[in-house]
Amino acid sequence: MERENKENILKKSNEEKRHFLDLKKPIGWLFTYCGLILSVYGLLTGKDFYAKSLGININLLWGAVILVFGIVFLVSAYARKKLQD
Amino acid sequence: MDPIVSLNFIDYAIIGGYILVIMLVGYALKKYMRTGEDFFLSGRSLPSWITGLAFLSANLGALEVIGMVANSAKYGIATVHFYWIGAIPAMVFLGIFMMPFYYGSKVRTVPEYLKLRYNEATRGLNAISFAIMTVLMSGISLYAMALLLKIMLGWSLTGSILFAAVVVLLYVFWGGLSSSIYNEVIQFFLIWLGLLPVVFLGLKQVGGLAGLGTRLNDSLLHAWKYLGSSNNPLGVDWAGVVLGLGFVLSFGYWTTDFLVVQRALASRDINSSRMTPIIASFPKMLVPILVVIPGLVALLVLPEFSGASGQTAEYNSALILLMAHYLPNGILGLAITGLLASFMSGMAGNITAFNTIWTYDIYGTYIKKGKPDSHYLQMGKWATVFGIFISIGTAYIVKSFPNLMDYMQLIFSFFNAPLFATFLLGMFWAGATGWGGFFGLLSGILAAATHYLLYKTGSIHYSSEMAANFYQAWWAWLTDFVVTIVVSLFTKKRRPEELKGLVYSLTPRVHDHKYLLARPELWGSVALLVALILNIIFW
Repeated sequence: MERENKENILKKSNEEKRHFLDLKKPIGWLFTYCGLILSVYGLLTGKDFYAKSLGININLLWGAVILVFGIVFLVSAYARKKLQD
Repeated sequence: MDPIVSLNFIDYAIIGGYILVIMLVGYALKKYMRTGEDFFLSGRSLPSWITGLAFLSANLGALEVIGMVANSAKYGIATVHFYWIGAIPAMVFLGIFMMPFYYGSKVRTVPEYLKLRYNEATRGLNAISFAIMTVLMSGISLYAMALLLKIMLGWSLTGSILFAAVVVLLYVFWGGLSSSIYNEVIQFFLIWLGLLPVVFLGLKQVGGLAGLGTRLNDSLLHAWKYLGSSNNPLGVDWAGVVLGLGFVLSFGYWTTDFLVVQRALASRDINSSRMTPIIASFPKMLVPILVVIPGLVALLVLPEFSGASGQTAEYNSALILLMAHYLPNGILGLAITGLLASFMSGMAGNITAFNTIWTYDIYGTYIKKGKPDSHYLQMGKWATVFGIFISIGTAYIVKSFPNLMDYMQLIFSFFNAPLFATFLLGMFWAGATGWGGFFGLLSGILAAATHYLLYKTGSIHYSSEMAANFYQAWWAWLTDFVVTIVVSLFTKKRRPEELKGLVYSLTPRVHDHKYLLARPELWGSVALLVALILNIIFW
């Protein structure tokens, strides 16, 4: 009982102090979007497109890195929310 | 003149995605802006990872990045001094020793602290000079952005200026400081993710760090080795670097500039506010990866810099030319978005600092005192609007008179240099009096101006422009320090009760956080240690 009370108080003070908007979401969405279109564009472009980048398909490679980065942010934002509910 | 690069639909899709996200963030924040504190200080509610990254990003503007890549091409590894000795000790000092006074005294702005600690005159001097400087600065960077986009992409000057101004206006008007801070965090990730491909591809082409080491002149590869005399690419000796840059300029900027301190004030509690600059110090140490490596690569790869083309190098174009050299469409759009983001968030940072100082320290102090909070919230919103209009006006003035840019920056440096002495004495010496603070600050500003005139008329001589800057800051600081002490000895002291919470010896110690791993002292020491090791490695 006492413990529950304590948790409630803790939850409430967290609620009050909770920042306005979970920044992890817009960061996650932005980079998931960028990563996605970069990797798809990378898949659609041929090798001669990458003469500048020393023959490396930088769009596909770096797009994938950014995609993972974005997804990690999304997962951490939404997983935490689910845990709280 | 043809633009340096041309964008395609993928690049525009990335730029568009970014603009859409920041507008949505600004709009989503709108409904939380109920009080002045929400608008100007994010309701003092943000976690320290957000304020920490924003603290760093507020200083990682596009001009800064482009300028530091240029410096690296000119001075080599010595550029790290702007990041390590020129920032880390000051950031740690702010977190451990100064934040308890800023946050603990519940002041809302830096000038407000000066009012509580010294007197109204000291606050007025600082608030008015700061407000004018920030809003003009915002105009200067607006123009610089438009010019860069014109040269690089062929966009029209007026189009870029108005577009950026409207975007920044809307999201700051809606979300205040929170919008500004959220954008800085997004920008932090964008600039790293956008520019790292340039670093990787550059290193790959020149044969990695080892390749740089064997192919470049040794004087470009050391931070300290050649600082015994001023006969090095930097043109400054170690004393100038340590006193001018490491002590006066760095502490003056990082501990008293409201633009950065405001981020720490937005933290949710005192421990988070103290952690803010300390968290920022870690990525700060890594920024040389983004700027020094491209600068050195440019020397080897670009014909303009290796002397192969016979042209003289325009160092400021190094980063842009590297982007054009390595990045195909797609990833290019991401890098451009990174630069765009840092221009816009730089402008938003200036505008939010301006509207806060204007509303609290100028309007709420000299024009309309004692109005209800909602009145000041409205004022803050309108200050955002006219701040943006002044910025646009400044951008057009600078466009017609480009030399003005240098003069403005010069005048700003007069005001900034001595300020740290005023704060140091204010926070750590209870004997400093109100008028001591005012005359100290004023004479420090005059000392900087006098030093500049003596240097320009040839009465004092330095081995380089940079050495002159560093020593100018040092003499301005020393003048402020000495005059504040001398005047304080002859003027009336404040009663100790009035200084409680404002001066170190009269303030109860902050309780240590119960977890060792959450203590600023621990992480501050780690930051200093890492910075020391980095300096030894790149000696």
